[in-house]
Amino acid sequence: MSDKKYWNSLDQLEETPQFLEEAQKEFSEAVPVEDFLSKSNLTDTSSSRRDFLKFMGFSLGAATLAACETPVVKSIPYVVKPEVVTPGVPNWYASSYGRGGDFASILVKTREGRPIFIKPNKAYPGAMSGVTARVNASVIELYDDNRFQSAQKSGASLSWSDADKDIKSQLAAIKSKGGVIKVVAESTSSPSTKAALAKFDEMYSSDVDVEIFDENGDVTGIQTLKESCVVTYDPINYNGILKANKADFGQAIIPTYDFSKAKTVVSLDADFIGDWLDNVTYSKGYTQRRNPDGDWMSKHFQFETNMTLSGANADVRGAIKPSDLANVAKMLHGAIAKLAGGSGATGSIVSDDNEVSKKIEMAVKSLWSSRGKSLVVCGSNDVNIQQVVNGINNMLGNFGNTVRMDRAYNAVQLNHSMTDLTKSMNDVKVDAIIFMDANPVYSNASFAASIAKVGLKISLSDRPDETSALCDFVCPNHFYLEAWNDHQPYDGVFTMQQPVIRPLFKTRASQESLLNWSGVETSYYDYIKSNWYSTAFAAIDAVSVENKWNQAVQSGVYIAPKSKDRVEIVYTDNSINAAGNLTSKSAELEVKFYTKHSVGNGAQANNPHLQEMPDPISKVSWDNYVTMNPSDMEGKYEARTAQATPADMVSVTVNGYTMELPVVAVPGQKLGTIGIALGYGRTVTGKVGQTGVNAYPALEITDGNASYSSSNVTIADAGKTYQIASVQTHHTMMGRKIVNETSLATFKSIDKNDKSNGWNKDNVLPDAFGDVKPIKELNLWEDHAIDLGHRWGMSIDLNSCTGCGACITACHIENNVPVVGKDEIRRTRSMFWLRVDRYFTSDMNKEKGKEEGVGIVSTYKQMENASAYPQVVFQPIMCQHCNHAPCETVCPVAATTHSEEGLNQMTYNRCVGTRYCANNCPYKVRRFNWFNYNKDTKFTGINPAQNELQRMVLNPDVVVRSRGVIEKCSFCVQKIQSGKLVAKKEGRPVQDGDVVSACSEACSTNAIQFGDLNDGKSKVKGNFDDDRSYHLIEEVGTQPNVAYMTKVRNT
Amino acid sequence: MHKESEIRYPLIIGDKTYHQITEDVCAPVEGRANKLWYVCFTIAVVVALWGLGCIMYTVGRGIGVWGLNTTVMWAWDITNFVWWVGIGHAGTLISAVLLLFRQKWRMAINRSAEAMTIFAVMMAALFPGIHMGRIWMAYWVLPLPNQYGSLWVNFNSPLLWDVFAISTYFSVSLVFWYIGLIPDFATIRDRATRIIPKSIYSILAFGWSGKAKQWIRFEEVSLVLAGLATPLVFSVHSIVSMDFATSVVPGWHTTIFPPYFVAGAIFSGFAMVQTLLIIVRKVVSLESYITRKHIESMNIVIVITGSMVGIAYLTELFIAWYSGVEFEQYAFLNRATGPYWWAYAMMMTCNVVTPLIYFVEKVRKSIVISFIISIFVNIGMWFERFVIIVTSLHRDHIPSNWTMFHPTFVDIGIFIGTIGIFFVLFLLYARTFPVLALNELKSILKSSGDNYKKQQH
Repeated sequence: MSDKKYWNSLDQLEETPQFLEEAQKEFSEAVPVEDFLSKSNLTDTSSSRRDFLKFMGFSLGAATLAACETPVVKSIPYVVKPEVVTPGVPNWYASSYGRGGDFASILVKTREGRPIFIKPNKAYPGAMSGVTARVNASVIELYDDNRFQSAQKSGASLSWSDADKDIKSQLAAIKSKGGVIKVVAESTSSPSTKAALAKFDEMYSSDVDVEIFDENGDVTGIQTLKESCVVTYDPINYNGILKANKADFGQAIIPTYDFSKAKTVVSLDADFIGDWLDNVTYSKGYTQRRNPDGDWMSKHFQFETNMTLSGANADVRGAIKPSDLANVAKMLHGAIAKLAGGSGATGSIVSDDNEVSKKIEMAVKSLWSSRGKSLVVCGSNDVNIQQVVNGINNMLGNFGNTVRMDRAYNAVQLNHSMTDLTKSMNDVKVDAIIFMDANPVYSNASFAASIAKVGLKISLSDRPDETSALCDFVCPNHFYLEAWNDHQPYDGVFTMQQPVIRPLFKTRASQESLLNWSGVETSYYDYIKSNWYSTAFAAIDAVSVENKWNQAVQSGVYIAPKSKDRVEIVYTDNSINAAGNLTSKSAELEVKFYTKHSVGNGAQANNPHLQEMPDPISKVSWDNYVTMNPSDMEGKYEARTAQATPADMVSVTVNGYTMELPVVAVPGQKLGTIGIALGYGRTVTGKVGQTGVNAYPALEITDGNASYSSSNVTIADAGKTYQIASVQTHHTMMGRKIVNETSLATFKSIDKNDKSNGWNKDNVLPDAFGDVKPIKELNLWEDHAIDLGHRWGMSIDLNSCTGCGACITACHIENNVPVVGKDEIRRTRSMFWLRVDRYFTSDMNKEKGKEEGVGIVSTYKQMENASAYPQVVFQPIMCQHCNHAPCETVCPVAATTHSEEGLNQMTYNRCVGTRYCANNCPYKVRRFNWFNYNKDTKFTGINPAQNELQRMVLNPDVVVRSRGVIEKCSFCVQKIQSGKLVAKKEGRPVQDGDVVSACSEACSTNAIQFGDLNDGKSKVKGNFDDDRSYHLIEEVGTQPNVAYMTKVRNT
Repeated sequence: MHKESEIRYPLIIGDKTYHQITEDVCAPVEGRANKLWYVCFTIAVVVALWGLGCIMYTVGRGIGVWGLNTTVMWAWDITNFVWWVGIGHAGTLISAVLLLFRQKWRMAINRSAEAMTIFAVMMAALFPGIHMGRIWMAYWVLPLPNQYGSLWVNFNSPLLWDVFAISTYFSVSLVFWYIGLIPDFATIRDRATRIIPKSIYSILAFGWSGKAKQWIRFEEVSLVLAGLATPLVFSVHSIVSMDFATSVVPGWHTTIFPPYFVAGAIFSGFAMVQTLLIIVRKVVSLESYITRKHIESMNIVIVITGSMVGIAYLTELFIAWYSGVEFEQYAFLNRATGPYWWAYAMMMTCNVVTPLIYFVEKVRKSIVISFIISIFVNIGMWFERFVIIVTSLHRDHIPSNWTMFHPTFVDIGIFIGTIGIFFVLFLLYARTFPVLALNELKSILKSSGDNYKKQQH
């Protein structure tokens, strides 16, 4: 026992009597209890019973008032302001998007540390920078609370160190017994990821005995080879092109296709604008040459089965059956060979109801006249067809010009045979399998059955999918916005993927996991850096290398200096041989599978913005379905073109797999064919993603890889109906001047100043005195003062607009537009501030009706029906910000008013929701908040604003609207304000380009221009003054601040 | 004493004395209600409660529970509104315009017609309220002073004119009705024996004692109010029609609307009066006062206004064709032949074709046929508003917007519910109010009464 003594005061130490006395007392000073509790005092006291009640009343009142406080939303201010974060001011970081074969160099907007918007990075080689809807909508996937929040073993979370220990010991055990470990990985263009995979391979690749054959095919011996762990697998692969190029050029690569140099583009079922390879770059290059005022305008031929975006934009479109694709290639080959003075393949179209043979002749003529500056692309996954196409491009001298084999596109790689992998799994030869961004259980039917036979299954997926659900371990990857990575989309072009937020959950880069298990204890960031220092930066001296690295991170892009020695690429022409190998199974009914421009291969299925975004052609969202030509549907299924009534359900059996799907009429679909979208019917994902039917199991696996069309298909009425969610239920223009269109020949032949006839006809009406005047001069209202200050305007070039819809998602995200889900879209209550209308041409018009004497009623009825093979036009429509806005005059409470800068403003707080403005809007761009989308339980799990985490994606500059108010396009007024502020702070006038609306930023083809109409030098002013510009239904007298530019087709 | 030609049909049938009139009119108020009344009242209450439930559901959750969509932003709500307002036209017309024109037959029907007007306008006023996205901000449509200084309502908006028109009409109608009720309340007060009814009716009677001076003032006020109310008959529905006429929607943008709507309103109002009175005269045994003559007179108004409406329909079609405007032409073609052709056909048949049989005198005097046709007209006029609103909106300028409108159970529930509420009010009125202007009726007994006419021979 210690005899130490602790004391509180000197008095205590000395034990003074005073202290001892005090220590006995409970209170140091006397408490006058007696004063107020003694009987005598109580009666004497002046506080009466009434006083008591007063005090009680006061206390009760005070307590009640205190309880009535408005609920406090906790927000924690910074104690120390971070260096780079200024509340209210966004930071932009360069990063990269490289998933599922898509690539984009991006700038990410972060507000108070939260990434909320993605736009193209202009530092990326100009002609190539752009984002698709999938890229700009991906930001919301970061905040998906379905994501794995930590490492898991059999569904229970565990720490990374425990997981690593467990996995490493199991891998070591497998390795020591010589077992086989496989990594199923998605294609990647990342050099460091490839290096990390190689590192893993180095550690865990297995030995395989391969029999050696002599010339006679007899086994002469056995050789032991290292078999790579890595199995590249994409749900949508491009093995046809890759294998053809391997055979013809010795390299399994995708070349650079330069559409900006091609005077003639012939696409054989390749939707290069919609969903084929590097579609953003292609459509950028393509639209560069679609300007009728340019030096020349390209001519585009499209031969395809389904109506695609490319087919919709084509000058000449030939509808063919999938089985005829080979014949078209052969006919092109033969005809061009003949012109080149050689002999080529021969073929003929089996089913030609669309004058395809004639169109092929036209294509051949056009190709030959622009040889060296033409381009033939093909979307087939058949090696032989691709070799024939290579032969055509070779004869046309396109290699080295429009097709550059020396600059490969790396985002897709040659896929390994899944059949082989499944076979060895079935034979219990695979001991461990790791999935890296791959979900084969969903997209490969035979894989699901075999996976149970693998001992150790590890998923590196960042969110639950069908494969991770069957895995023992889940070691979740970061989301790409949280992770470091690098990409090499094209040879010589490197981009940096910079994290823009700290990982939300306890996740780890999948590359880091692989490296860790391979015994390399390093962060992936250090690994990338050292990899770059030893490869891309190898030639740079140690002093400036750090600088170079920082520059690459900052700009997001690093262009390697061109190497001096040109790689000689030798072409071996196998086309005649390949043409000979081509066989086509023609059938009465054929099916062509496709991926939607929105949902893609299904990996992003749980993204509400992508699900809500309508398909550019069918205008249906939230589902997949059977696309069928309305002429084929006649008599069998209701061709629901004019009314949103239920679609008939059919059961389609393809290669023995039966699906029940609704039928949607899509004019332009080749007769005798149907189309079905892949990427739907996810089962293990969030609520949003579980929609539609999985069509992957219907794919025929040939040569180890899927084929995306089939002749083995039967269709039967399922005797049911299904309500499809379509945002547009009427499909023709009804002879109205909505989208102005003309042909290049007319455009060139009729003088622009000739306003009385032809394409540039002025819209005229007689005034009250019978004098014919241009509509602009007929005016009921006083003009706004529009010459002073800014006047914001937008021009939309219908020639550059491909209809892709990236603007829709960009607008949706920038402006916190609610996602409303399938049921509300069915009721045609989409909330899009910006929509892209799509019109088909009809066989009937008023002149024709008069000639044939069918009567006006029946003429109009027939005008509602699209042609079997129509032309297609797209038209983005948002609030037209009319100078004489019909909405402004009718609002009883003046909630919508005109700003001095020409904007039609909507004051949500003042709106009482009579919806009169929406009825009186001739463009119908006003949207009503039918429900409280951010509270109503109908939208739980659908509308991101309802989710604690997902609402982090909301733009803090834009208010979330409550129910009962109208909302609509504001021309991104928040961006206008911030653009003006920035200019003001810098003490300069606002310049063209300072203020760019979200849709304009997202538009990779520059179809949408935004700016100040009072700035004489602005692009938008130039477009307004262009002869092609016109205002939509200007005869109503609205005087819009949005102008459209006449579409000119090269016919 | 004013003498009347014996050729004129008597307006009061049977051997009635002043006392008998008092007895007849006061009987429903003083006696016990019969079974039929209870059955009707129960049904009406149930339907009204269902309607109120649907209204509460709408207000609680949002307008999304209706069938509206981004293209058709008004449908049943405004259809019902215009329908009820139209019905509400007959009362004032009968009491004010017919008073000025000294039409004596109005005396038997004006009280109920006015009551119907009040209740119908109440039902009508409900819809602009509940159709608002934020009904709790509804007072913003009133030009109230506020803390925002210059924040004012938008005087350009026809919806605002509506607010003024309807509220003025409602208050004038209510005052007019009430003034007329005062002498009759006094009669009931004087006859009442029980203390509670007596005190209530004495409050309602405003101390009426039946002095000659009071009668003079009564007559004067009635005339002044009739003068005030007459322009309102024409202004209210003209202004309601301007909601449509001043817009740019093809099919709405029509200068013919104000007179066309007024004619339609009188048409539908008379039809509703017809429906109600044919029931009332039976249920409370007032056949002597509401005679075939009255019914015939109303039928004549119905066939005239119906024909006016018919001309308006045809004029619309002609002007659409004559205007040469693509959008207008299609809008009207689409009404008649588009997906809603059946609504147009309903409207044409019920409003234009069926009333034409009133040109046959026998038919116009038949009570059964009158009742059936009055129901037809009520239906037809509802469809007229549906046709104008929905078929114009569902296919407007830009074809990509074209949709259909499908009502939900809430749309239907609220509409049926307002009919329920209307009948609850009307049935309560029939049991507590003098359903005929008994004191006014007495003034014509000796000139237009059946027995007095006979005595003159």
